[in-house]
Amino acid sequence: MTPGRRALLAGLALSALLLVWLALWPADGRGPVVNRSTPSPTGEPITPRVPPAAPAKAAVAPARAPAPAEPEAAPESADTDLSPVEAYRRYAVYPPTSRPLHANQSDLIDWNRRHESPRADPDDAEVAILFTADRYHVVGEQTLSPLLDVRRADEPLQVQVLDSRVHLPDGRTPSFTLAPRDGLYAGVITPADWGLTEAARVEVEVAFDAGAGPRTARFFAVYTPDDAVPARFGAVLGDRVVDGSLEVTVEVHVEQAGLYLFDANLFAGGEPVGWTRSKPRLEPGTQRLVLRFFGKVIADRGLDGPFTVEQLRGALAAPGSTPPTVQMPPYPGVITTAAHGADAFSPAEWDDPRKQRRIARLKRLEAMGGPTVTTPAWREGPPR
Amino acid sequence: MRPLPLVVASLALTLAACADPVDEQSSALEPGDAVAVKSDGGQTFMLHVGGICSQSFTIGTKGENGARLGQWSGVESVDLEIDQRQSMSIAVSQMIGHLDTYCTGSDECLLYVYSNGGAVISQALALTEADRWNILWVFSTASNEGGSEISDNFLAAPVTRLGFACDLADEIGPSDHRAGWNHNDTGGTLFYMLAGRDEWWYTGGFPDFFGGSANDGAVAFHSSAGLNDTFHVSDDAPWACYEQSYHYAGHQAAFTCEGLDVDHNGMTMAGIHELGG
Repeated sequence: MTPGRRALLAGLALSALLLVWLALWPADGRGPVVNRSTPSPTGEPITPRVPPAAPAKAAVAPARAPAPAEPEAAPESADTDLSPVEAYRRYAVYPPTSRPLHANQSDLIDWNRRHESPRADPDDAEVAILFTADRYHVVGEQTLSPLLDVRRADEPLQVQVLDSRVHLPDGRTPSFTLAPRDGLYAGVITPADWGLTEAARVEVEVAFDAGAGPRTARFFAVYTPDDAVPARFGAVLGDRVVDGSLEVTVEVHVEQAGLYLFDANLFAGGEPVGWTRSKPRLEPGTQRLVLRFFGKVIADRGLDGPFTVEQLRGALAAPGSTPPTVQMPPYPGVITTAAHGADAFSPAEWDDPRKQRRIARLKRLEAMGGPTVTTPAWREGPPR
Repeated sequence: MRPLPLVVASLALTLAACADPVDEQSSALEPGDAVAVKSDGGQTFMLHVGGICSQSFTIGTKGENGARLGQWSGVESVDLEIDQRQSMSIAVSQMIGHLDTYCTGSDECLLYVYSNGGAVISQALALTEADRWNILWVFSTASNEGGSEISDNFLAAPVTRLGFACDLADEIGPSDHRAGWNHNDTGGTLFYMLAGRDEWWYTGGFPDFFGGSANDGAVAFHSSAGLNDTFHVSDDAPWACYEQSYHYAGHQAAFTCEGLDVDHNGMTMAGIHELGG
């Protein structure tokens, strides 16, 4: 008997036991997914599906001061479903590399934040456990601050930390301290102490007991040591309006040749305006990076400068490696441009041979009766 | 014995057994696959990409009745061999190789990606000079582009790998996928997102990996709808169509704003059915 068949039979046997157990449980059609009023087999109250301590994330959680959400390319009109050709046309009024920025695009504004959420304890669903940290990418001398938050009915629980350590790719497991702080357990990890020479994805783990027995929690982070930093930002060389778009030029001191990924956001008076992405191939030496914010993005927003370039960050692309990017230290501050007026920027839609080729190909696919997909019109929302 | 370990052990063993690769010969393309030669001599390919722990769309990808390639007039369907058992790095590098094979010159591609295949194509486009490929659109069904809370878990290993019995399962949580690359960079290609919302009680109930948010059992709606944050989505809400600014750029709903009342396994073929294939 193959291992797979043995596992299958074992699974089926256990499933049979499970079915007996389920037969004794008043199910609602989906097994023991129950509401708050359903009794458990032991007579104890069943915990609601959402752990009480799990803060239901607000539908909108902007990282900056909220601004009125505005449509991109105004597709919210009373449209019917859009064909691929029409959907692409509406998308491509802006280039794929520079588009409007809204306050709720936290993936671009608070780009390095983590996404762990509280989980119910496996034996006590009223206990919610969150193990997270302040960032995902850590570069050079930056620190990583893990946080353990264990709650019952929204009240912090006292925790005994049994062990806390980082698993490095070379097999070492340096420990760190999690200390009580305002009902939570917080620490500071200094990856520079590890002496790594290459970027690494590391596992951060804690073993603890909150009264229900030992538990283990973990998350992953990516560390780029100083020795592996592929390039660093240098001086800002200026900004100007070129062909109706805003160009901001920054020096980059390159150590490793390759394809680089640069991202930055544009604001006016604190209001989000647009984002840009640049992917140049750079050789070692001091290079000039041009960040181009598309004119229509700025013209549509209608805000006058000076503008600020914020969250400027870069990385060397390394697809096929773990991690898939090697991070540069983010630009340490904000770049303020000259006071360009909104009318200095072109309201013209993006046009480009690549756009026209894609439209032609989509039309041809439609004409030959190939697979087609429709997309419903955008709607306002979500409810706040 | 408490019930949860029984449930978990039973399901983990059963699902792990089901994940065994099938006979590779069964994955061969159907002889009836239509092939159309365009006037410029190039071909249009529909590239199929499987999910977590798969070796291709038809090998190792879970489906209620197995996964088969879609068939459409004028399009050649291809089952991409992409190993999603070990790491994203392997999967992405293989994806790049396939795009170089099928999507350049006078050839052009459509992509049908399932589950973590959505993350693989997203990362491939974001970290390369994607202009060199002629990709008309990407159809993403039950996409794990935004990461799965099942992977991003810290509890016992059997739970962590529930249904995901391979090493790559450790790399596909929301933090790894969302902070790992810029999903707005699709190389100008539109991503059509088709989400499922028929959850499994053993991942969406007890325990509840998704905090009560809509999910298909393996991925939450925030991922499968291409949302740019782990928004809490209530069942039947039309989140897939709420304002572009709640989505990654270039990501939009396919066919429906509320998703389908189908679970993660069923979503394997649901998109092909919706596309008429």
